[in-house]
Amino acid sequence: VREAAVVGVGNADRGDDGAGIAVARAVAAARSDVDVLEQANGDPAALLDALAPYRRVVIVDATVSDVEPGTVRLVPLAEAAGVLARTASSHGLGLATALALGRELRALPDELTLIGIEADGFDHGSGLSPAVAAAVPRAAAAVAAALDG
Amino acid sequence: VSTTGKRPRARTIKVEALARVEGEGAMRVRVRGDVVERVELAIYEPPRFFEAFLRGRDFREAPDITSRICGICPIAYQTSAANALESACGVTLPPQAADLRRLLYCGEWIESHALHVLLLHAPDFLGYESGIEIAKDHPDLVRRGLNLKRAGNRIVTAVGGREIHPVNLRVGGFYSLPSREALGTLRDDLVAARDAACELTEVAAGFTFPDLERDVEMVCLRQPDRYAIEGGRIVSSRGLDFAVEEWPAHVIEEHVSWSNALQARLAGRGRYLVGPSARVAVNFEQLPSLPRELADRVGLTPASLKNPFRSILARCVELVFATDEALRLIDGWTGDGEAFAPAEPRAATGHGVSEAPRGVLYHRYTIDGDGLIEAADIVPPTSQNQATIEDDLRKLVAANVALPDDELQRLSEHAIRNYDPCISCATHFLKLEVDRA
Repeated sequence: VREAAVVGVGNADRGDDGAGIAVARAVAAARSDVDVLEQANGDPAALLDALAPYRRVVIVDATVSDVEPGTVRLVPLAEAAGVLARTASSHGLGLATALALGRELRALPDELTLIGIEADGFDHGSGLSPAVAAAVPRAAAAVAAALDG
Repeated sequence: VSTTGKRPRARTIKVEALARVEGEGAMRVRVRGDVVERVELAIYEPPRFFEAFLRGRDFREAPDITSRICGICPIAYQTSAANALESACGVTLPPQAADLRRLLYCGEWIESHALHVLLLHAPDFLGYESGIEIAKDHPDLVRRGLNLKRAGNRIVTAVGGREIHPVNLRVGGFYSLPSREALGTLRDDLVAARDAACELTEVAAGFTFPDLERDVEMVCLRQPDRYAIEGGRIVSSRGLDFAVEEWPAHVIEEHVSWSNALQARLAGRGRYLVGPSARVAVNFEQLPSLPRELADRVGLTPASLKNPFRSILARCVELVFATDEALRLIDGWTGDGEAFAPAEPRAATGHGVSEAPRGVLYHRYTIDGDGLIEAADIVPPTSQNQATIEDDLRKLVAANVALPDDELQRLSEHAIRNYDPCISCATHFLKLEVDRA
């Protein structure tokens, strides 16, 4: 069992759906003591395989709810379906469903933290919105806190 | 839901998002008395974004750009795009590259069908809200299903270079051929996956299939010597048989008022069906012995696929086929030979098709002498099936109009999922609305 990993989830070609990927890359640039992984969607088989070797995992994904774009927050697993559903709905089952499946199959790491960044838009081919781009360092700090806390 | 008087006169069922389809759109059903007046599938498409985006790009970029349309079937997009551009450039794939295309495509069929059968469609038959509840009650079945999907993921990773948006495919073939050893490591997983696919087929054969029968023209690709996946002529259950270059003469894309995606029809023939049911029904005799015998054992015949709810069995049999075919290709793989044939641009138009998990996917490109794309046209399987989905829903609602709204809604959603509609290829949001008076 390896110690810790950070997983960025999303599609960098779909606007703010790339938020998780951007944060994962920021973390990878800042520290070498954790494995940093990228998942393009919440494919359950791929995600559970990726998480399997680790004791502690922090997952970062875009959220869609009623808070300000760029808001960074810890998302309790039980609430994941409510706020993550839309981001993943364009591709595959979605992260929330993959995590719920993992819980039922007892295939999740001992410590799992989910960090969300509220998205502004998901246009094909566009980059991060200004609000989300500005939130990336804050989200990376939240990841560090979750890893070291 | 609102009612007036003894008999419901105006009822509207509205679902904010139709779960368990890839992407979202909107379905509206209008009922007056016992007559289903209208069924409309509306798709909110970023209109033809990719076709516009492709104009002016180098032809070699098209497979990668279009594969990003869909996270579920990137191989289909890459293959149809490459087929079209290879045709435009007059390139023939080296035999090893052609085999590898087929193997890669088997991986995508396995990934896509396993996901749909187990986690998206089975819940409808078992009375569950989602695959999560199946995992709660039948964890071993879900584990085996995920292992099956993983075997597909591993093929795509090994051949495509990575799992999502694979990068190894290029116009003319592949950037590199995997070694015999690299593909050999997939073997054990695939043998287990083939067993799991057989088992899943037997489980699905035990489901209760709602009554619905329709006689629609079924369209798929055909190759002379094998069950078509990565290319072929376009054939139908009613005798159509044409080369891909004739596609524009046979397939008409129509704009319908309720959707900003296009609906495809056959010229002079009307709506049609593409996908696993069409492939199994039309190419039944070409299934190799293992999937063919399994189909016989579970009572899957071409005629039985007139019931769209039985599409899950067609997908299961194709899972058995794809795992078996992948093993055959791996066992015959040497790793030697040319990875690609050089593709030099010339001013031309090229057409390409392949069998995406959901059905025929057509691409057409016009390029100039420098290889810049002047025009692109993409017809995804879901836009071809839309008119048939609407017709199914019309029949289903008419036959079950006495059901309470919530049951009718569930049945309608189930019917839409028979097509595994990949709305993300064409759209953003799907919701279902039944309006009665």
